[in-house]
Amino acid sequence: MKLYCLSGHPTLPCNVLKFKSTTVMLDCGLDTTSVLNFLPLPLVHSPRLSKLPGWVSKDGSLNLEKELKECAGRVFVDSQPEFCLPERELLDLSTIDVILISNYHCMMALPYITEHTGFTGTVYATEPTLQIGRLLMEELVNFMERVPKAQSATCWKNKEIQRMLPGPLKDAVDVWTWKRCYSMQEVNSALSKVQLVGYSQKVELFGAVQVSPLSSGYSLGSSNWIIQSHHEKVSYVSGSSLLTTHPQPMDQSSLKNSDVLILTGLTQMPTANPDGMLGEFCSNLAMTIRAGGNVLVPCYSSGVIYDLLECLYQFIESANLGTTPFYFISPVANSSLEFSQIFAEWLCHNKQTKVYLPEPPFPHAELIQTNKLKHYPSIHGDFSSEFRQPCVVFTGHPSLRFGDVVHFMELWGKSSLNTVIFTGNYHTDFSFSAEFINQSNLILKLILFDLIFLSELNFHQVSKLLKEVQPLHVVCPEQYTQPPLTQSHRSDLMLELQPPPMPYRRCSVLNLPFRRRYERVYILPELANSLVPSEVKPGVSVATVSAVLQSKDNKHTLQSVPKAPPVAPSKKRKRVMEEPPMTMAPKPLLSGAVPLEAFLATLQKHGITEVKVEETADGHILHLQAEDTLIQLEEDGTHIVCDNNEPLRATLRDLVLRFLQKL
Amino acid sequence: MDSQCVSILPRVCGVLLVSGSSLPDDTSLEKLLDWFTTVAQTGPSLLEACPCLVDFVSKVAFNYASGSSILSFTLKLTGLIGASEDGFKVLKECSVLKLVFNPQHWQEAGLWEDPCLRIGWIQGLKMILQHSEALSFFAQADLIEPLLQLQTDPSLFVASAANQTLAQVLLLCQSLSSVGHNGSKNRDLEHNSEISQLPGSQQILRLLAMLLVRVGPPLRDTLLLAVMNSLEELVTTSCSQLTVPLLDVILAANSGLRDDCVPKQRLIRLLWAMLNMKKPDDVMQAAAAVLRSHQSDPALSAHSARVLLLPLDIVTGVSLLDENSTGEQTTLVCFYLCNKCLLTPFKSMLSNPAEGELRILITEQLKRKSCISMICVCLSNIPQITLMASDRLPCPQRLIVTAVLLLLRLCCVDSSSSSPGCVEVVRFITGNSKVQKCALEALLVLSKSPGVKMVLVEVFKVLTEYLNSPSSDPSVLQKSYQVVIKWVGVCPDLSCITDQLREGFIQAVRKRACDTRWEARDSTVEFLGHLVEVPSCWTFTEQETEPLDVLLGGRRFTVPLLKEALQDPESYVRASSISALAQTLAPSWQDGTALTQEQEDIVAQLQEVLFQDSEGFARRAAVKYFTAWFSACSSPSSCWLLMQSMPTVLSQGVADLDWEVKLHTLELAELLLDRAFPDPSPSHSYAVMSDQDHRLPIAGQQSDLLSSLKNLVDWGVVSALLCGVVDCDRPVALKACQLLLKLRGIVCPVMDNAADTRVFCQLAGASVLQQVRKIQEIGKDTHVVSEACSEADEEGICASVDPECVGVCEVLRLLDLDEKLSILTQSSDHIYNSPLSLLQDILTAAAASSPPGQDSRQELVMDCY
Repeated sequence: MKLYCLSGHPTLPCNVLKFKSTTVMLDCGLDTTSVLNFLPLPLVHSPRLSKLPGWVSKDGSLNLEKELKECAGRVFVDSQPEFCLPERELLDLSTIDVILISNYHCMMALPYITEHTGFTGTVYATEPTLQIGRLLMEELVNFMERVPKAQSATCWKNKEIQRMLPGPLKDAVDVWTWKRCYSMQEVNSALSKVQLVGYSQKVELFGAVQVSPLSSGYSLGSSNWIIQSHHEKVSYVSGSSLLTTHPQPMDQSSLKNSDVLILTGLTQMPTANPDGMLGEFCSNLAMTIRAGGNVLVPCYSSGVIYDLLECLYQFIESANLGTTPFYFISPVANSSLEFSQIFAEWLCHNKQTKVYLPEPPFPHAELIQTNKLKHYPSIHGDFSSEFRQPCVVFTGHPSLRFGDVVHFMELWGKSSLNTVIFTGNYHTDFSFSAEFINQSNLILKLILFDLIFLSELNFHQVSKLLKEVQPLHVVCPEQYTQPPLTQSHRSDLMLELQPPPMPYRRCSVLNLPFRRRYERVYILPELANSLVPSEVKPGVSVATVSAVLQSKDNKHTLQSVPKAPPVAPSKKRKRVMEEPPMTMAPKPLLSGAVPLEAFLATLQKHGITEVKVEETADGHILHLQAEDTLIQLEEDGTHIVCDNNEPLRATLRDLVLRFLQKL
Repeated sequence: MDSQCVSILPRVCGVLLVSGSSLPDDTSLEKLLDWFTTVAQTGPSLLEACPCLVDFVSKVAFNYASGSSILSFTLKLTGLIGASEDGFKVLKECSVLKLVFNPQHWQEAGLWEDPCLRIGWIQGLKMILQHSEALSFFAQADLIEPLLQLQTDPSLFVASAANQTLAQVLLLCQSLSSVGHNGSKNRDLEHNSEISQLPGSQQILRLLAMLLVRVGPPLRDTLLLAVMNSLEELVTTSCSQLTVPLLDVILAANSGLRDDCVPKQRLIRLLWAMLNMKKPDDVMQAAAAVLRSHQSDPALSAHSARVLLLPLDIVTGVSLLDENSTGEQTTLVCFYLCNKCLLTPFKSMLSNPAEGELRILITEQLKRKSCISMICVCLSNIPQITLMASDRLPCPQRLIVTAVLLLLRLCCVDSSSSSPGCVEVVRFITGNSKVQKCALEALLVLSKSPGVKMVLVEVFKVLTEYLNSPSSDPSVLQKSYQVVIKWVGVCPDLSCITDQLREGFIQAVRKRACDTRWEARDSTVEFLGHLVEVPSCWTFTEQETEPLDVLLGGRRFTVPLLKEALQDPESYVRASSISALAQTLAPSWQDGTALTQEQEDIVAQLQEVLFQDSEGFARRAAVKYFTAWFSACSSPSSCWLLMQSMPTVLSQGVADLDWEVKLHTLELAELLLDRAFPDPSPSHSYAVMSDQDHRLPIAGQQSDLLSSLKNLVDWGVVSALLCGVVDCDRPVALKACQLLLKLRGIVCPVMDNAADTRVFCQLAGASVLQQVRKIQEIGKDTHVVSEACSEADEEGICASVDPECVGVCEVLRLLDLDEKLSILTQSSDHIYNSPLSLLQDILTAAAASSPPGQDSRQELVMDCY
């Protein structure tokens, strides 16, 4: 059993598991950190961005003015942003049988895998995952396509040139494999390969393994996966949450008794107090609005935003924010808000019951009704006429490189009254956004919140979970096996297990540390009928089986041995092929132990009196001195060493056999 | 004693004898006993007052059928009667005493099993043991044996009561020792020492501790000698459960002894032994107890301090216990704190091998979850440590401050600091609000330590970090604010607070003012108010600065925040913001600076609060705001806004639903009253004004009074008082009554009924008017008021065209304020709590429980609940 790790990003995993005869891809997350090296794509002409000077190396020998621009001491690529795809050289992607998707954030690389690689398998995902995933992909494509850039920078990727570039560009890996965003057509083609599954539904893969999704509590329709054969069980835990937010709670008990547990999607943010963080989000928001500033919340158009809106719904009145407009801007804003209300069966119990009242499960419906929350597909059109400040804007993309958020950064970046509140992942989204703001000479206030913790397990919860689930082995990204760089003393922010977890990184190939020992074999009723079990000890009966083993579609069956057809009267030779397998009655199997005292008595009865008994580690050695014969009685065997006296050997053998049971 | 009670009592006794179970409620026997106790204490003798009791006691003693509660009551009653020597004689004469206090008697009756009876027996015995007669009875009847047995009774209450009684026996022995009762004393002692050899007897240890605190020298020495060996044995076996009681005993024994006596030295040795026990928890407990008891032995307390500081030393790596810790090291640590760079941990070189062992043990314990309680014990004893003389401290106090600061950093979730100390502990203490609170508490105390001013910036940084942290518990935030106030208050020079620090602090406070948790908002608002009251300080350029200006940039920052908080959805926060506004504006009121538009807005908002706020807290605070304003204002009459709002505040306040609002309003009215009639003699108290003082009417005085009274009426004081005096809430009516009496004392003697001096007052609210009219009617009917006066009323009260108008002086004379006052000063339940009512209740309940009344009694019970 092997695990191929195609992505090094701990929360955007892409792994391939070879288990029995199947090849299963677990998630295909798209690592968006590569876009940090690119200039933002402004929706409207930005004088600031267009006036940036081109980059020329200090000695003037290298001139990439057209491709690279300099901004506040850092160099950015002036081209359409490109993504770092999962590794494609590690194994032939066309051999993948199935792809299991755990949530809509972890499927963004799907078109890169299913298209143009020869992939012929099936993708399994739940319905909300498919629908919201489609929205997110649509949004991404839309963000890219509505501000087309004719130019595609490639010169800087030249190894020789890249070596001489400054800063992070120089250290970027595999830049040649970076790809531009896919098209809508590719998205549609990729999503047409998705087959929908429900929680706990069992899907057979070639009769060899069974896969089944479990609720993971991370987002609408998010799932962990169990991949199991009759005797082995691998659990794949992706983004999961034990908190009570909007999705169905996590199913933990089904993860028990796993041989291997693959653990991804944890948060390393130290705090474990979600109420405190949400409260902090609200207070910062209120503080900025009261001081006359605007609040920008870069976020994905689905997921945590539902929880944020719910939290704000309760807060708006108490903080006197009733008159402050809240805007949600995304090409899919409307669909996202609507979709969240219709997947009732995938919601937590509390929200499910609302549907029967009937009430919309999420309170953002009311916010929209009362005009407190307004949503627009883009900053163009209606939005520009209704825009009022101070306000709160939720929009994407969290990378601040493309989408409507770029516009607001340009608009509000120059006043320290304004605040941008980050709710993404602490270790990826934040660090680059913070850097971006620092390096773009923007002075608006930046607040970082790992609100993704709302939907990700932290280490405290994980250690609890693992204590309960008790897997034999744990596999996890290497980041989880050491404390975060910024807090090296926090030994509580890493996984400490016995046996230690197996770390993986991009391009690792792990031999999972367990052997398959058993295989299930079926026995046909008529064959079973013919068996005659005999009891070897109380409660245990044994029978010998003579049968033909038939293996088909990874299923093994024992069938009765076909009777030899009566010998044809004709003397014509039959074809050898049709001859049945030779049937020979097997020798009986012996069981039991030879009791020493009784055996000696029997020997004496048969006239063997001079016996010297010697005790050994495994049993006894009897020396029949007169006959010059040795009998070794051991736990699992008896040897009679008797030279040239066959009758004596046969007698002795029969005497031994008297004490043993035959099968 | 009430004669009515005496006449009823025999019937009550009869009822108790017959139907003890049918009492009105289960506390009535207790109440009865309480009443008897007061009678015995105040009157001449209980038996003289209620002679029927002896008969009752002897009857019950033979009547096993009485319920156990009655029996228990009787036993206690016997004790009460026997407490006086006369009563004792009477009881002895009718041979009740022997029977009642004979355990055998009750055992044979099979009643001894009931703990209720046993406790009655013990308490009766304890009550009786007041005189030598009783002691000899106690010795002769051989009651010590059963009493000692009861010490190990399964019922905790019984065991504890037995303990106390034993102590009482010994104390009585002591006080009578001159009379000569050595026999019983010695026997008792023998028993004590014997039993204390039994391990695990916490009761004995408690008894010992109790005795050692109370007994005098001769007996104490004997007692100590008797138990010393057993104590030593117990200390060597060192059972964790006994640590605390053992310590109590040793410390109690130790406290009264001279230094040079032998037992003292043995006790000190015992304490040393306890400080060297195996389990770190026990050692810490022992050390804490030693410090708390203010031992005179310097070495002992110094060692205890070292033990208590050990966990802090280990966790933070700041070497607090280094024998030669010098100033140099402090600077090093400060350098470390400021630069957050990792120096190689400087571990203390230990001179004491036992301490080394303890260090290892504690270090082990700190790796477990239980480290939290240990660190908290350490932190909560820091106040005791700082009280020690500096030469006995293991390190300078500022080093302790440094360590506490580092610990606080480690506890803070968002902090990235690490310590050179124990790393494993971090996972348990990070974000633990218990540790955080203990450490902040310690920091609060440490602000007083000498030479810590240099770390003010560090303290400020850490506190800002806490205020900023999203994971800080509201209680932690509150503590942090307190610490800020404290430290800022003791630091004479705040020039070290840089602009950057201030900016960070302002951001944090601003954020907490918008917190989602009301507790956090409340603490913030309170903090803003308290900060104003911190005394001014001087910068090193000799300029006087207010801490509020230094930390938050002054009132222009706080007032808008507080005004915002007036709209808070939580009433506590609104109330706090009103108080804080009063605190913030008080200086400007004192200076008499001109009103700003902002202040006018605030007044308008406060009046709105008074009118509309649904919660009492906010309305109370609003009334108090005006009280504070009025009392702070140097010349209120010149402040038009204040005087203009008075009628509204008073009329609204006194009509409030909340009695506290009404009371606060009357306090404001009192201020106005005092201001209108300034007190000529500073020593006078208002309620007991003698009319003599104002008997000499001077023409000028009358006109002055007239104008003042008119002012009072205009401000609405008089109508507020008249409203208040008929209020259904007793404290309100009482206060109003007192104030009206005061007003009457000032006004009525001087003012005659001449028409030109009449002052009329509008009475809003029909009920008030009705009451006044009613009183007026009664006054007429009973002719209490003089003819002339009632004539005046005819004209005075009724003559005015407006039916809601009354003449002030007339009403004051008419209302029987003195009678009202005497009624109001009695507590509202004085009737229901009288002994007569208790006795009647018992009788009624008994009557009701007799067969025909069965149902009605049940109904009664139903009614009660």
